[in-house]
Amino acid sequence: MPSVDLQTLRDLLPPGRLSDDAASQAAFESDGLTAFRCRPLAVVIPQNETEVVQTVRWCDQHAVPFVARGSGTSLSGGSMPVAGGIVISLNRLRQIIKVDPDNRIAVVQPGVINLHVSAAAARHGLYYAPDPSSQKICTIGGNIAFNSGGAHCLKYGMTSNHVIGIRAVTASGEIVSFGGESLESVGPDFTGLFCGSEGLFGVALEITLRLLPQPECFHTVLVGYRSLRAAGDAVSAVIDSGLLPGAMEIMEALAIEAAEAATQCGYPKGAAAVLIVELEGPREKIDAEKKQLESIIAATDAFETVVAADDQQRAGIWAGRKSAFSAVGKLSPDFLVQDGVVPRKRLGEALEAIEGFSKDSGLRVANVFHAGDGNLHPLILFDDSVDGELERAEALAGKILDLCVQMGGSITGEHGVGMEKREFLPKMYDEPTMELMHRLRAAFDPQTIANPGKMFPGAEAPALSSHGLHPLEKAGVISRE
Amino acid sequence: MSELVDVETVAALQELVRHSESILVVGNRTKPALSSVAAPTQLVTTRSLSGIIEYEPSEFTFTALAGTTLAEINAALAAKNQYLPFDPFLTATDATADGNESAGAGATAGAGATIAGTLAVGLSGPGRHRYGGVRDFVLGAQFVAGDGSLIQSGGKVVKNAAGFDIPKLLVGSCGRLGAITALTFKVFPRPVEFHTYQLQSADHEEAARLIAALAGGRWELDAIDYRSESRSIWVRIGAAKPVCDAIATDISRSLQTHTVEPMTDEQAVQSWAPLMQLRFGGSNRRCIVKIPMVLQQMQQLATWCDDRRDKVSLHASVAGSIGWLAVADDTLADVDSFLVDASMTGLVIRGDQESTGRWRLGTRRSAPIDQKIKDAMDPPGRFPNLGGE
Repeated sequence: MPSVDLQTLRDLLPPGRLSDDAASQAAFESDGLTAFRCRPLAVVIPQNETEVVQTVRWCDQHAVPFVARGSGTSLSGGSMPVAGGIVISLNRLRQIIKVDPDNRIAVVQPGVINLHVSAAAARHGLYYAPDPSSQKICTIGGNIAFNSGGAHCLKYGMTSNHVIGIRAVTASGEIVSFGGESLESVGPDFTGLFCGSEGLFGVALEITLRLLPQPECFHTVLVGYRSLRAAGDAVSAVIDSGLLPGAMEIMEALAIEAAEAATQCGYPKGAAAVLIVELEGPREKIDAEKKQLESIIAATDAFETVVAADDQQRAGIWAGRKSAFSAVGKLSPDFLVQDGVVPRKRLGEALEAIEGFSKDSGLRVANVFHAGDGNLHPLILFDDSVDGELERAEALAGKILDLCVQMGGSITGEHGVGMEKREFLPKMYDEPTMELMHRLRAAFDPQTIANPGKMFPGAEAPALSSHGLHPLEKAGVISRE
Repeated sequence: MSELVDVETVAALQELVRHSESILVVGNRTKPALSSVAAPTQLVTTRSLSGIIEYEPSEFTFTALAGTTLAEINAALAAKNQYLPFDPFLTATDATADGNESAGAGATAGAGATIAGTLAVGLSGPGRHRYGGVRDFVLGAQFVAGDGSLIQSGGKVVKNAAGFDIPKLLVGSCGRLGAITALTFKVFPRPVEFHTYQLQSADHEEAARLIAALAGGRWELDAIDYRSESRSIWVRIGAAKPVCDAIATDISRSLQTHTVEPMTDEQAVQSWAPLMQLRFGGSNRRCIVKIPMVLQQMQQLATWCDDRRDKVSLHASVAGSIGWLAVADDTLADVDSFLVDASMTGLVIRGDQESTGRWRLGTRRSAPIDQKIKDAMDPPGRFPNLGGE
C-alpha cells in the first residue's frame, strides 16, 4: 500500500471528523466476528451525507480502501476494517427522514437502528418486519449490506424484501438512485442487487423501507421434546398442514440449559429440544389457526406444551431464544457462530452429521436454528488459549459449510459471506458465475476499494489476529443469532 | 419483424447467443410490446425449454425451465394446496388470445405467459399486496449471459445470502441482461378459500383514504384494488368464508362510513378475470401500460383518466402501488406526456401496431451505472439496450 497523506482528507472535512490515533483505531478493530481484528489507518465519522460522499470520493481518488460500518455487529467479519484503509462510521447518519403511513413506507439514513424504525412507525400501527437478533443495536445500512434475516424470514422474507429504494454513492463516487417510494418499479431491480452486496458496491445514503401493519394477535407455543428428531418431525407436520407460522425455531439441550441459566425463560426441564411456533395475524384467523396448531402439536411426541398467555410470557419465550448464543458463549472462553442453510427435510441428517463432526474434533457444538427455513446456527465452543483450538474450530465450521453446499443449501442464510466464508463462495458458484460477480463488482468499484477482502477469496484479505469476545457481547448488549 | 427461432436445449441457446450480433429471448409473447424489435435483432423463444424439474412441497420451492407456462405451474402447485402468492398475470390458456395479432409469426400467446417472461417483465398481480411481488419469491436463476456463459445464480433454498442477488436483478430486465433458462421460486400454502368484497367511494380522494385505512389495518387483506371508473374498491381475503365474513364485518364497523359488501363467486370471477388477463376497460383499449405509483399519484392519474373516459381505464392495484392502464391505440402518446409531466414512468406491456420498440413511457433513467451493470451482464452487448428505444 503506497503511503497516503491523510491530511488531504482531514482538510476536506470539518474538524474532528477524522481520527487516526491508536485509541480510535482500536475502537473499530473488530466486529461481531470476535475472533479476529485488524486496525484501520483512520476512522471518519461523518455527520451528513455530503461528508460521506467526500470521503468516498477521496478514497477513490487516492485508491485507498474503505469499509462502511454501522454498529459493527456483522457475524461474518463483514465490517472488519482493512489494514491501511479508512473506516467510515455511519452511526451519526441516524435520521428517520419520514414515515408515510398512507403508503406504508419509511425513508431513513443508513445509521438508523433497526428497532428505531419500528418504534417510529408504531404510532401508525406499522412496523419494520426484518428482526435480526441484534435489532436493538444493528443499523439499517448494515442490514442492507448483508441482507439480514431474523426469526420471521419464512413468512416475511429477508431485508431485501423490505427495501424498495436506495440512494447510494458507489465506490467510484457516483451518486446512484435505485427504486423509489412505490412498491413497484420499471426496469431491472437494481435495489435488489444492491441489497446483500456486502459493502462492495458503495455506501447507502438514504433507504426507503416498506412497513407492514403490526400483527394484531400472536399465538406463541413452546413445546418440549425428548429428542431433536421429534422436534424436527413436528416442524414437518406444521409445514404439511398448510399453516404459515411467523416463526418456527428449535433449540437443543445445551442451548436450552444456557438460556435458562441466563434468562430464566421457563423452558421445559429435561428437554432434548424445544420448538417455538408463533402464529400471528388478525384474531379471526388466529382463532381458527390456533386450534389447528393445537391438534398438530398434540399428535407429536411432545412432553410439555406451553402457550404464552400474555405478552409478558411471549417476551420471556423469545428472550430465551434471542439470548441463546450469548448465553451458550458464556460456557466457553471463545465461540464461533455458523450460519448455513440446508433443505428443511434434511435438517435431521445435517444435525446428526454436525454431532459427528463435533465428536471428531473434540469441540462442543450447540445448535439453535430457524427450523422453518432450514437455517442452522451451530455454535462452536473453543478456547483460543489452547494451541490449535481456533484452527480446529474453523475446520469444524468449514465442514459444516461443506455439508450445507453438498445438501443443496447455502453457506449463509443471513450473516453474509463476509471475511469468514469467502473461501467457500466458489464452492456454491461455478467459475462463470464467480466471474460475473467480479464484473458486477467492477461496475460499481473498478479499483476494488470498497470493503476489500470480503465475499471473494483472494489476496485482498486483511492481516488478522485472534482475540476473545466483543466487549459489547461480554456486557450482554449484543447477541449473535 | 424478426423471425422467431425456437431453441430446445440450453446449449443451443448458448450457441445462438454467442453467434448473434443482437438477440432477444422471449417466451410465449403474451407481452408483445416488449419484444417488438426489428431486424437484425434475432428473436428466440425458450417456450420449448419447458417443464417443472423439481418441486418439493415440503420445502416450499420449485424449479422450472424458462418456458414452463404459469398454467402448468399453478396446476402443479394447486395439487399440493400451494400457490405463487404474487398472483401472476396472463395465465389463461386461450388459443384465441389476441396477443397473437401483434406478436407475429410463431407466437403462442394463447398458451399463456411463461414463468421466465413473468419474471423478466416483473409482473405481479393483486396478491402482491399481502406477501410481496415476483422479486420477493424468486430464489435462483439460471441464465445465459451476453458472452454465452451459463450462470447459476442464487440458490434453491428459501433462505440464502451468499453472493450478489443476481436473480433479483433479472426482475424487470425484459431480457436485456440475460437469457433465462430456469428459475427457482419460493411458494406458500394456499389459503383454503378466497373471497372478494367491495366498497364504494365517492371520489378518488376518498378512495385513497379508504385504501390507506384498509392497507394499514389489522386485517391482513390479500388484495386491495381500485377500479377508478366505477370508484369501486375490491378487497380480497384469503381464509374460510366465516373468517372472511367476520373480517369484512369488522372492516365496515371500523370504517363507519362505508359498508363492505360481499361479491358472489360469479361476481368475483367477472371482476378479477379480465384484469388477470390484462383485458379490461373495453375493446377499444387494447394497449396495456404498467405504472408504478403511490397513493397521491394514483389520485392524479385517476383524475387525468376521468377526462378521457372513452380512451383510458385505470385499474389501481396493490393498494395503489401499481396502475394498470388500458389505453386506446391512439392515446399512448398522451399517456407518455402525462407521465413525463408527473415525473412518473410506465412500461408498455401491449402496445399499438405503430409503437414497435417503444415500451418505456414517461421519465426514463439515464444513470451511467445502469450501462455499467448492463456491460457486466452482457460484455459483448448482444442483448438490446435497457432504454427501450
